[in-house]
Formats: sequence, structure tokens, C-alpha cells
Amino acid sequence: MEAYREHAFDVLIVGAGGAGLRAAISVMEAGLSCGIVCKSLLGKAHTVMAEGGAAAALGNMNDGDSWEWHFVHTMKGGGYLNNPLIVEIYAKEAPERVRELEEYGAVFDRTPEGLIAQRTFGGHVPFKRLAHVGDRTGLEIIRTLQDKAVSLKPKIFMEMTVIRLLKDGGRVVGALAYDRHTGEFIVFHARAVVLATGGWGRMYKFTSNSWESTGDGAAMAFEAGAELIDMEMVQFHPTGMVWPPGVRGILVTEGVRAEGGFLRNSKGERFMFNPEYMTDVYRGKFAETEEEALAWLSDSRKHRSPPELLPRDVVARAIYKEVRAGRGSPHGGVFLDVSHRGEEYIKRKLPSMYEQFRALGDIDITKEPMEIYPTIHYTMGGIRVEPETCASSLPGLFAAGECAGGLHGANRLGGNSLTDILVFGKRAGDGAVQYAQSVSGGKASAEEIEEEMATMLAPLNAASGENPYVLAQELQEAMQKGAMIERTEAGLLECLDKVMELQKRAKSLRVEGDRCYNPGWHTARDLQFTLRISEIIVRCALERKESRGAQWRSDYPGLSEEWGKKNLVAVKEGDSVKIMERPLPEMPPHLKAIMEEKK
Amino acid sequence: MLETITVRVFRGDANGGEEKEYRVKTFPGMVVLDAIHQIQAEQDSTVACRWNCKAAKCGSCSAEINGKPRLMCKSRIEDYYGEDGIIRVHPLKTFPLIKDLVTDVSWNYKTAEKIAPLSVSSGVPRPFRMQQVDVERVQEFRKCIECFLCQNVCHILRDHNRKDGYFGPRFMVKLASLDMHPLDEIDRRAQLHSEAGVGYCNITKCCEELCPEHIHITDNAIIPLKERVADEYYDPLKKVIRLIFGRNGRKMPVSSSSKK
Amino acid sequence: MSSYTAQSREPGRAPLPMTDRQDRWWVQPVLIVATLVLFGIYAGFRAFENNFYETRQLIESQPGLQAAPLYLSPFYSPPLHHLIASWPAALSPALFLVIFPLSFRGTCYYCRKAYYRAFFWDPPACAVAEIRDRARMKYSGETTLPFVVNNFHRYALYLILVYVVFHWYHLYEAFHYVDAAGSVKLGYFGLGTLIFGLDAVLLSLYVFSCHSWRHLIGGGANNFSRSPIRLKLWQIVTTLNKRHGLYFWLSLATVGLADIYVRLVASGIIPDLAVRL
Repeated sequence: MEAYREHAFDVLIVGAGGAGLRAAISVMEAGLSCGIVCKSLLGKAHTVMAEGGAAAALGNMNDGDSWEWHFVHTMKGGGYLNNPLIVEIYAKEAPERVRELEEYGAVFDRTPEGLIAQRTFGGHVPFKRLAHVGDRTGLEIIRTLQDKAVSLKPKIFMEMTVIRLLKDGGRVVGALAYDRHTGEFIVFHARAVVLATGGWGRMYKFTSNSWESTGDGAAMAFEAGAELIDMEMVQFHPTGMVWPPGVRGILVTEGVRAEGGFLRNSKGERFMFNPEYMTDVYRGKFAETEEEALAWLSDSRKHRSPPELLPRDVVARAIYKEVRAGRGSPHGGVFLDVSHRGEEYIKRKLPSMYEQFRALGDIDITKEPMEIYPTIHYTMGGIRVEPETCASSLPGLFAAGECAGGLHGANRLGGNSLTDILVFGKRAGDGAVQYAQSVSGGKASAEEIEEEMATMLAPLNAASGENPYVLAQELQEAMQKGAMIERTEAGLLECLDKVMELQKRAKSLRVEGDRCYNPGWHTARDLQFTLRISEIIVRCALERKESRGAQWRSDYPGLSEEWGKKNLVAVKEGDSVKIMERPLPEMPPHLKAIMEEKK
Repeated sequence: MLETITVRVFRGDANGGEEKEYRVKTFPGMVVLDAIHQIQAEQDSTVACRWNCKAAKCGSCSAEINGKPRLMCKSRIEDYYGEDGIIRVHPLKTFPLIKDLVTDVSWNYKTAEKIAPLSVSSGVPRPFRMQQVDVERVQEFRKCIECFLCQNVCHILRDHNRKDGYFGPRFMVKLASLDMHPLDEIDRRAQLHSEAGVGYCNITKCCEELCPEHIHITDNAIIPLKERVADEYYDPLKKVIRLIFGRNGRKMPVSSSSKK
Repeated sequence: MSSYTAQSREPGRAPLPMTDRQDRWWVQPVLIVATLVLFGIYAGFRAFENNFYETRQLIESQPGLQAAPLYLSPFYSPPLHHLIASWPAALSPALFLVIFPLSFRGTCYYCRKAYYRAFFWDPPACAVAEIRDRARMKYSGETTLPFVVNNFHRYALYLILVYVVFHWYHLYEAFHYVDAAGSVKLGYFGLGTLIFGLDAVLLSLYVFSCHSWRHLIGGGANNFSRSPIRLKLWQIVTTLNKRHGLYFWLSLATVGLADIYVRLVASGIIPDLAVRL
């Protein structure tokens, strides 16, 4: 029998991005013992890549912003698939969570009055709502939370991958992980487990996501029996780098458009003014002429904002259509130009974009336009959680951040994710504390541990089998082709066939080498997660026969009133994926009134 | 641009190792990290390297390329292969080797724990009011992505192995970001002078020269910190002034590491 | 292909050869050593020479000369031999005067980098190992003698400020001449005046871009916004400070040039190129 090390904590947190670290702070402050497991080094999680800002109705720009407006915008941006109770908590608590970061050491850009400066982003207009630090807000937030968490001295396990949630009957009581350095197994016993594992973009070829985004958390929760929600909703960020090939998919912050960047096609037109791209909910709320949009640059209170600042799903679709209509740039994207803002301004407000294009793309964005194309960026769906506590449908299991679903509905507004991790990181930590204090320790199932260790070791021991990298590449090709921005039944079915075929082939993998820091071996396990999640994405996308938010079915081009009333829930049945329709949570009267009032 | 290049990757662990040669197909805009990925996917999936964002924002893929400490994701291959078409990739040399290009950088995380976080007196009104001009210096330091290239190239850690006496450039920057924070109430000079070892730095500036975030580590962080320490420990005139007039609003001296 | 099986210095670390760099990292240290050694030799020679550091006496030694400039070699400034009447003629004041610029430059943050790298090879260049046996010598940097004295750089700064004043005074004097009658008159502009001008400007740029100065002028504070004047001053010094190393070399060059020129003119090797009003 394979040996393993053991650790026990009151609360185990999986993932050390913003959500995981914020949850850990709550747990430590409550005086409970806390273990944090993360796949990378501390401070390298995906939060670090967030650029533009953290949305919160602080009202520092004196533009009359309020949590109610933030609530309305988030619902609207999400195509009303969001859970209104989650959004309410979110919008109300966001300002407090952002200010708290200053106490922990964050240093945001300032207004002339000395308060936190805010900028606008798509879907938040006309309000300037995003607290930011140039275009490296994510770095500021993760480092701040990291320092704060470390000072409270939780036990941190770096470069360990959790591969299975361990259960005692129906309750989650721990997790099995392996050490990436040595390949050793570790069993964590915990009264409560918080998943803060982030999203999943690695099943797509062109993505802004790192290797970590393989959907481990959602997949493990699913395998353990938890419900996943809105899994068809995968966000395509409108602006990813296109050229050269080595950088394809790397994110170009929405901040470029927020600072006045123009989107142009090969004919030099600012195509976002094309009325065809405007959606009904936003009609009349954006500038309709280039003159008006230019005037917005100098006075954002008097004028409507440029249509480049429509929500991400709208802009991504428009770019896709421009390129398809033959009006694309030389390398198959469109142009994003911010050079009119001048060198000094750009270097101050978008320093890392300037550096990124200078070093990797040979382009000086203070003088030339960038070429951009949508890139896989974020996953709105995830583990279904309770609004107040972030409890999943499995006792003992909590989820926060990108791996949880419900806040963003069908499309996330820029800036809403950095605040999401703060608000619900804290809530999940508090929820887990409350739960952990109310239960006694459970006993992890020895069979589950045995089974999972055997599965994990199989590719190393196999005499023959396929190369996991080959399968991963085939999956990326298939998903990029069949489950991208534009989806059709035929395309999705073809993609599903491929995914199912790959799932079969992935049962017999073989990797070279030993258990010491072996990327091939790690990839073999990650592949199982991405394959499962891919299947769920495609099945949900097939099910939802309408176009809403990130889900664009060109065979069902319009919004459907019927589909607007329900979420899709995925749950494991036997060994297969069961998709269920679930009516949206009832919106309480006071929220209805707000929606009505702030149409 | 050459169609194929040769990448010599250091393969080995704490017991030793050697360079191994791989032929790699090139494409426009290719960076050294792409070459390593290609090797992993097509030739040898056991080559160990760290990486995350591949956009120079996370600081994971630090290595030594042709002997120069660099981020692999930001190093275009055409800047490194010469006429012979060879690029040599080695791990950081200041930290214990785990495998191939992966080193054990945990010393840095242990050192970070010795630095007390920001502490703002309860008397300061909330929300904080700070002017942009006052926080700009601090913001420069907070650009740090913790790639530890500065720690790697610092000769005090690299050649003299004085990890017992000096926190290294990364943590000088961190201490500077706290000591220059307009609202921080901790006087960090005692710690700087003693366990953090700012006096060990002989300002030879290799850290500043290769910082991928272009932080002026020496000019803006370490030297000003040395001057602040000089105020306290090497300036008899200031000492006399302090004796006569008191500390005059300066922060309270607290030895940071004892404040746990 | 190179193979590494040798023991590295610390258990578990990757092998640490002297360097894996293939570029010409040694060029810079070699140039710095060469320049500073040459300058040192010349300055030493001039200090001991104790002659040809003034041009005013030319009016007596060169009959027929209409006017002699009032140049004084910066190596002999401040003019102790004039200020102290009893200064013994046999003792070169430069031997004493050199201490202060030397201590300013010697404790200068830029110069420290230059000499630690070039002379002490500590390290010779980035990611290039040192030569001496580190295992036996415990590194203590600037925490122990002799280098701990570098922490007193600000006192060297206070003293060098006197020199800066004198350099401007010598520039002012360089607009004067002594006529055949022996009286001093304003209205002279020679090549030497130009060189003295350059020297005064560059020395000032060097001194006022000093890191210690930057600290004293405002860098020690954390609330710039409370004093706009301090902020402005600090910003100006910060801008200058970015080129502190450049000013170090340029001011070194002009001070040397000024002395060479004065020696050439004072010893009568060349006449001063000048116009008079």
C-alpha cells in the first residue's frame, strides 16, 4: 500500500488566490487552525493577472454611485441569470472589502482628495467604480492578502495539487493531494473545506489562463456529488493579443478601452457604432456618434460613454463578426488604438500594457494600434453555493471566487471578479468557520484514498499508453472549434463526440520519468479535470437553446423568455453527467423595486 | 530568424547534472519559455520548470539564460541565440536545486514572515486619505512580482551565501514600501540595521539592472534606506539634535521582528 | 558540451561556475580600473609637483604679456596658500586639499558601486562569481571597517559644498585678468574660463545629484504633500540623481581637464586663448 503523510486542520482551503487568502484571513481571525494548499508558489495565482480594477460603489468620484446601481448593472450584465441574493450581498459589501485592503497595506491610486481613485469599465458606465493601481490591480490585491494572511501564520503548503475531496458518508471531511516536488501523497483532514481553485480555460487553445486553470475545484466537487451551475457560460474577453503567435491569447486589459481606446476594423471604422451590435438593454445608453464619444473623454459626466465600453460578451461578438465579415486586421483580429491619449498618460495609466507590447509584440502602443481578438478569459459558472455562507450542496464543502457560480450569471462585468473574491472569500471563510465549529471531525474513507492514489500513479506504471500532451492538444483544438464564441448544435455535438472519445483514450495514459517534479505526470492528472469540465460545458451549451450573455447559439440567435427563467445545473449521476433545469431564485420585492426604479 | 535552434537545458538535481541538448522549431515572437514548453510536449515531458502567466506578471519562470538571470516568458529567443543558434538555460544558482530549472525558493517566503505588515494607528481617520505624490514611491516598490531574480543575482546571497545576515534586495524593497508608507507607524530602522542587514549591501546594483519590473531597487529603495539608517546610527549631529529636541513626530521605534 | 558533476558551494545548489555569461562582461571593470588609476597617477604627480597651479604670476615671468588670467587649478582650491599667510611654500596644499574631494567621491554611492566591482571584484559583474575564496572570508559588506565609514557620506557632502562654492568663485575669477600694471580687471574670457565654467556646472550637478543630498532635501520624509517646496526640490534632485554616475565621470573629467589646462598655460607651454573687453 502506498504511504501518505497526514495533516489535520479545522478548515482546509484549496487555492491561494484572492478568494483563498481572504478566506484564510477570516479563519485565522476566528482562531481556528487553517491549512492552505496551492498548486504554485504563494502569490502566483491567477489573481495576479487581473489588471483593470476592483468594482465597488465607493462613490469616491462624486458621480452618485450606490450599491443599488452596482446591483442593477451586475444583473443586467449577467443577462439576469445571476442569483439576485448573491448579487445583493456582493454589491452591498464590496466597498467595505475594498477599504479593508488599505488597512492590510494596499496602495491604490488616489483622487485629488486623497481617496481611492476609480475608473469605469464596460457595463458599469456611467459610473467610475473600479478601484485600481495602474493596470496591475490584481498584483496589488494578491500581494496585500498574501502579506496579511502570512502575518496570521496559517500553514501553507505550496506546490501541492489537491486531486480528490474525501468524504465521510455524504459529508466532505478532507482532501487528498500530492506534492509536486516529490510526488508524495498527503491526506488533509478538515472539518470544512473551502474550494478557491479558480476557473478553467486550459481546454481552449487561445486563452489568457495559466496552466493552473484546469478546473480542478469544480471537477472535484462534481465528482464528489456537488451541483455545478451555469457551466455553459465561458467568458471570451474581447481583447487578447493576436500577434506574434507566441503571445496569442495573452490578455489586453479592458483598461485600454476604459482609458479611451478605440476599436477599429481594417477600413478604419469604429465598428462598435454599428447599430447592429447594440443590444436592447443598452440601447440609448451609449454614445451614438464619434463626436459624442470623444467628448466623453474630456467630460465623462456630461456625455454618454463610447460603445467600446459595452459589456464583454457584446464587444467580443462584434469583433468576431467584423473578422468573419472580412474586415479584420492582417493577423485576423481588429485594431485597438489608444495612442491618441499620448505617451505620458499611457505610460502612467497602462504601464504593464506598454511593457507587454514592447517586449513581446514589438509594438509601441503610444504610437501604434494593437491587434486584438477575443480570448478565453473567465468562467461565470461553477459550484452552486448559498449566498450567505458560500456552502455548496455538499455538507462541509464551501466555494468562493471563480470556481463558484451564481454571481455573474451569463456574463461577468470587468472589475467584478476582483471584488467577488474579496466579498465571497470572506463569506466562505466565515461560513466554513461556523460550520467547522458546529461539527465533530469525520473520518475520510480509506478506499477513496486508495483508489485515487492508484489512479494517479497509473500513467507512471503503465507499460504503454497515450501521451497526455497529445490528448490535451486535441481537446484544445476541439473546444476552440466547437465551443467557442459562436456555437451551433452541429458544432457542439461534434465537439462532444470528440470530448467523449478523448475521455475514453485518457483512461490509458503513459508518462516517462519518476514522481519528482514531473510535468508530464502532472499533465496526465490535469487532463482528467479538463476533460470532465469540457463535457459539462458542451452539454450545458447544447441544452440552452438561446443566445444570452456568453452563450451565443447562432442557431437560436435571440433571447428566449422561457430560458431566461432558469439556470442549468449539472450533477453526477452514476458516472455520467446529468443536466437539470432549475428555476431562477425568486427576486425579493425590495430588489425588484430597485430593478424597476433603475431600469 | 533561424528555423530551428538548439536549446541546452540543465538537467539534474541536488546531486548534480548536466546540460542536455534539444532541437526546437522556432516561430515568430517565440520566447525561451515557449521552447521549454515545446520540449516538454514533444520531446521530453520530464523537463521541470515553473511558469504561470506567461506574460511577465507573476514572476514564476525565473532562470539563467546564457548565464543571465531572466524571466523565460519575457526573453525572446532571437535576443539570445548567437550565430551558432544555441541558447543555454540553467536554473537559478542561489537557491537549492529541486530539479532541472526548478529551485527551492522557500527561504524567501520564510524571510517575508519576518517583516511586520503595515500598521496604521487607530487614531488615523478612516477611510485613509493619502495624496498620490506621497504614495508614488511606495507604488513603485509594490510593482514587485517576486520573481526573486534580484535575490538570485545578489552576490551577498549568491557568492557569500550570507542568507543569515541579509534579507536580500526583494525584501529591502518590501521594507522600503512599508517604511515610506505615509501612514505606517512602525519605525523599521532597527530591523534594517540589524537582522535585515541593509549594511551588507554594497550597492553594486545588479539587482536593479535586471529587475524585470524596472524597479529602481538600489537608487529608490536600498540607498534611501541606508540613509535612514545613517540618520539613526551614523549621524552624531542628528543624534545631538534628537537628544535636545526629541524625536519630533517620527515613528515609534519598534523592532519589527519582535512585533508578532 | 560542458558537464557539471563538481560539488557546488552550498549543498543542494546548482553548480556555480565562475559565470555562464558569454558576453564581454569584463570590459567595464577594466575600463574603470584603467581610468581611475590613470587619474590617480596624474593627480598624485600634480599634488607633489607643487608648481604651475596658478596663472597670475605669468605677467611677471613672461615679459611683454599684456594680460594674465586669474586661473587657479582646482587641485589647489580652496587657495590655502593665499588664505593662510604662513603656509610653507615647500608644502603642497594639494596634498591636504585632495582629502576632501577624495572622501566625497570615495564614499559616493555611485563610486562605491564602481570600485567594489572593478577593484574588489565584489562582484566583478552581474552573475559573475568573485575570485577570492569566499568560504574563508566572511563577508560583512559595509557593516565593519573599513567600508562602514561609507555611512558618513553626508559629512563628506557637507565639506564638498565648500569646494563647490570655491569652484564658482574661481569661475568668477576666471573672468578677470591682471594687466601689465599689476592691477586686476574684469572682462576676460579665455578657453580656461570656458573650462572652469564646465567644471563648476558639472561639479555642481555631481554634488547636487548626490543620494545623501536627495535624502536630506526631502527623501527622508514620508509626507511630501505637506510641503510643496520640499516636494519640488526632491523631484528636481531625483531627476538629477538618475544621472549621478554620468556626472561623476564628467565632473572628474572636467576637474582633470581644468588642471591640465592651467598647468599648460602656467608653465608657458601654451598661451591662453582669450578675448578681453
